[in-house]
Amino acid sequence: MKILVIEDEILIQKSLQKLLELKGCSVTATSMGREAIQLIQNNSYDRIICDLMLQDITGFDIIEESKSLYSSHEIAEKFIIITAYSSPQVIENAQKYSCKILNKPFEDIHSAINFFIGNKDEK
Amino acid sequence: MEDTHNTHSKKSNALDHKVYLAPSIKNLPQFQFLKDYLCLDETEASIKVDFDQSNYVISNINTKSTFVCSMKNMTTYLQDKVLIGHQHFSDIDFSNTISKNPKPNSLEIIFAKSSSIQEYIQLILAKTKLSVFSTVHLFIHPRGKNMAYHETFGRSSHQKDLVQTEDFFELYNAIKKSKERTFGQSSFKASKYNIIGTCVGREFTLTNHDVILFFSRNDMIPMEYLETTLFENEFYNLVNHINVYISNKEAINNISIYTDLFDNILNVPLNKNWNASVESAIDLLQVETYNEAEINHQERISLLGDLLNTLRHELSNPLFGLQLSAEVLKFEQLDSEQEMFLGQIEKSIRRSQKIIENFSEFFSDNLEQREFDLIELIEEVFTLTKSESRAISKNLYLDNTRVSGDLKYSIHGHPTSIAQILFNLIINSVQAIKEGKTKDPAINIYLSEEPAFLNVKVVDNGPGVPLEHQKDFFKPFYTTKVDGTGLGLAICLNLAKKIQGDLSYKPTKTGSIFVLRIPK
Repeated sequence: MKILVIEDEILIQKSLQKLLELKGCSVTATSMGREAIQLIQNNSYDRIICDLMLQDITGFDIIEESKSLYSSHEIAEKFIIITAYSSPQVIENAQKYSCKILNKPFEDIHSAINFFIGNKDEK
Repeated sequence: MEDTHNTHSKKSNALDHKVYLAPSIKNLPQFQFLKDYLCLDETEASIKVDFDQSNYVISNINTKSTFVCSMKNMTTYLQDKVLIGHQHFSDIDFSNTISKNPKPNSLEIIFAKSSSIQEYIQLILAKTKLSVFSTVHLFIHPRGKNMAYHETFGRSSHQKDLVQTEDFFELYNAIKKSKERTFGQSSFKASKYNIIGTCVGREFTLTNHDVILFFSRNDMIPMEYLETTLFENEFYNLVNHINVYISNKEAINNISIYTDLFDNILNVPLNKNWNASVESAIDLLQVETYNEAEINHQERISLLGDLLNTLRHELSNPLFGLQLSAEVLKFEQLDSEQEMFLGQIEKSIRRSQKIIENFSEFFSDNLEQREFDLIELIEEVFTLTKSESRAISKNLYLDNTRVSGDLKYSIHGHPTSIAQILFNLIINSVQAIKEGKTKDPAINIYLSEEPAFLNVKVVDNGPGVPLEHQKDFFKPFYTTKVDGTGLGLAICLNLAKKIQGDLSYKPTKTGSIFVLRIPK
């Protein structure tokens, strides 16, 4: 399974990458939103784990950019938003793309990892 | 005499711009001149005074008649003790005062001559624009003396102490060297002088005195440009007042030293009547208390809330990173010692996350009213005070029965405010117990119901509050602790009133009882 992790807190990013790799995934990680867009355009990922507050742009900007590549169904399938600030606006915005949101810190790390690699309806 | 008294006891409108005259002055011949000139009404001495270039412009607000006179002539007309009064400053927009021009913008100098600096500073603090500042520190070093006066002015408090000359000059030089002249708690030994949080300071010299002035916010929020500007705008007015204040102080002490500014404006020698008129003026000024200087502690609490929210946001991400990386390390082959360390790291991370979670709940929207479990809340407060209250037994009783297990007590109200009040009360009790070195220390909370109220009694077996302090300890800035701010109980009372409740103290022989009444 090919996964892209977009997260600018470097320890979170590296740890997520490692935990997913230990589950046998092939993981690319970046902390920059623009670089993520490039990666999405040039590669094919099964799953994109995306933080919302990035240094350059927001996670929603990345999803918006991905619209030219993926159908709305694919976007809802591929993207999982991870955020520490799930304000009502964030939830509303995520619903617009039918994306799943996971709050940071994760309540249970193991089930979060399984959620990332498995069927999204599991959680 | 009668009339003047009436004028003073009358509640002044914040927007009026009158100068009140001391009774002893009204009968003086010098005043008669002005009075005739301006057709002053005996009952309402309504004089507006402005400073225009080198002239004083004095006008009768009612009749619009104006009296213009040069600074020099004014000295002849109004000897320094002729007009002693009290002007309401609240309507003067100090932001229009150009700070580059050190000229006084009004004749306040004459009128404030005998008004107390305390009152003047408290008026400044009460002004909305400057309400960001909570405390003013004034250090005066009479040259040639080996100590300096330090006076601390809060919105409704005034304290005096002495500092060593070396300490004075340490501060003086720290300000002089500083470019921004704003300071954080760590910039200098601020706590030594009871200066709390960020502040803006200035040093200056008068003919016989070195002076330091600090405006402090009493919190850790960095000083903003606007705030330093407000301070700058006020600065020259303050220097004038301080100058006059020093002169008065020394006049009262029969040391006839006039300092430069004072000297230039009113070149009048002291005479025998001086003391009498100063004293009568001081008496007079004490007649009126300034009610508008009500303190809004809530504001400070919500600032603290913002600060904690920012902290939460900034800390929770790196903590989560640590948590995840600990998870990664579990996949490594670890020996038992390494495993133990990893386990402890995880525990510490979870504890930190829990603290952040609790605190943000604590300082969530202050006015939020919702259904919550009071027992759970009190237990949470006990947990939050755990590190301070170690070795003190803490118990919760509902209708005199000790609460244990999963008992619930749901109420509708303001959990944040109630938690803050109880938190403060427990910390207070802990400090009292520690000071009193109580044996078998205990803090018990008793819940009981009345028809319309719920009583939460916080009972400790510390040394209690001495009778002489009981009258004042709810007042802001009142403290008996060496490093106390005197705000804890004032904040509690304010919060209790805010939620339509009340907080009171019940004297007891065996410690202290604070009763928080919460409306049902």
